[in-house]
Amino acid sequence: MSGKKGFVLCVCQGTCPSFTKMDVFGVLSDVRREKLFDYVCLHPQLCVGDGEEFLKVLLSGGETEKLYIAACDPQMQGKMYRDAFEAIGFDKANHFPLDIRNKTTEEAVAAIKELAANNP
Amino acid sequence: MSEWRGIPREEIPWFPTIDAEKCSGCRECITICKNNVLTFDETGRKSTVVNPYNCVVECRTCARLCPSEAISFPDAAVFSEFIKEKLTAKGKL
Repeated sequence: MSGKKGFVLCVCQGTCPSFTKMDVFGVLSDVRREKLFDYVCLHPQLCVGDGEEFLKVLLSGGETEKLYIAACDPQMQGKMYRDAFEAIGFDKANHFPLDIRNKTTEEAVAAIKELAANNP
Repeated sequence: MSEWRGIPREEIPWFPTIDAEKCSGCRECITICKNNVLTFDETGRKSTVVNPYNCVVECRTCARLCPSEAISFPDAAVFSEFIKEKLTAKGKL
């Protein structure tokens, strides 16, 4: 199945100090320019109700094969998105999490490029 | 974080409350939160709230991931109304 590769940047509402060292839109633009993913999007808070709904809608229909999420700790991501993935039948092995907290724009982009390279 | 959208943070009653009886002392919440809201009480062997106003308004991650369900936050609907009133009073809504 050569489905799409999606990328989501989640930044804890943008008010959490963990994300104030980076220019969020700078990260998105730099990542899009690299053409690493089929689509790129931003969500303020995937870990609450409407965030789960977002994941379900995003992944329904099965067009997205692999989902790369730059946000908080990978273990936290796995726990918080588990219900949404299970509800929609998305294989969690195709979720590639990355912790970008406290990174600068450049550090975040470099880490995302590495995530994509290591998980083609 | 001393202000939230122009409102002094101390005027916003958003921070975790820990039920000491439920808390197992696993420290998961302390690992999760990077904003130094919580600390570990070595005597009582429980997590405690030390900097409540460091908490990111409307972030509930520690409560979501607490294995003992020992952490609670204000009711979402009640808090939403409170925040709307506050923002309206500040002319931001």
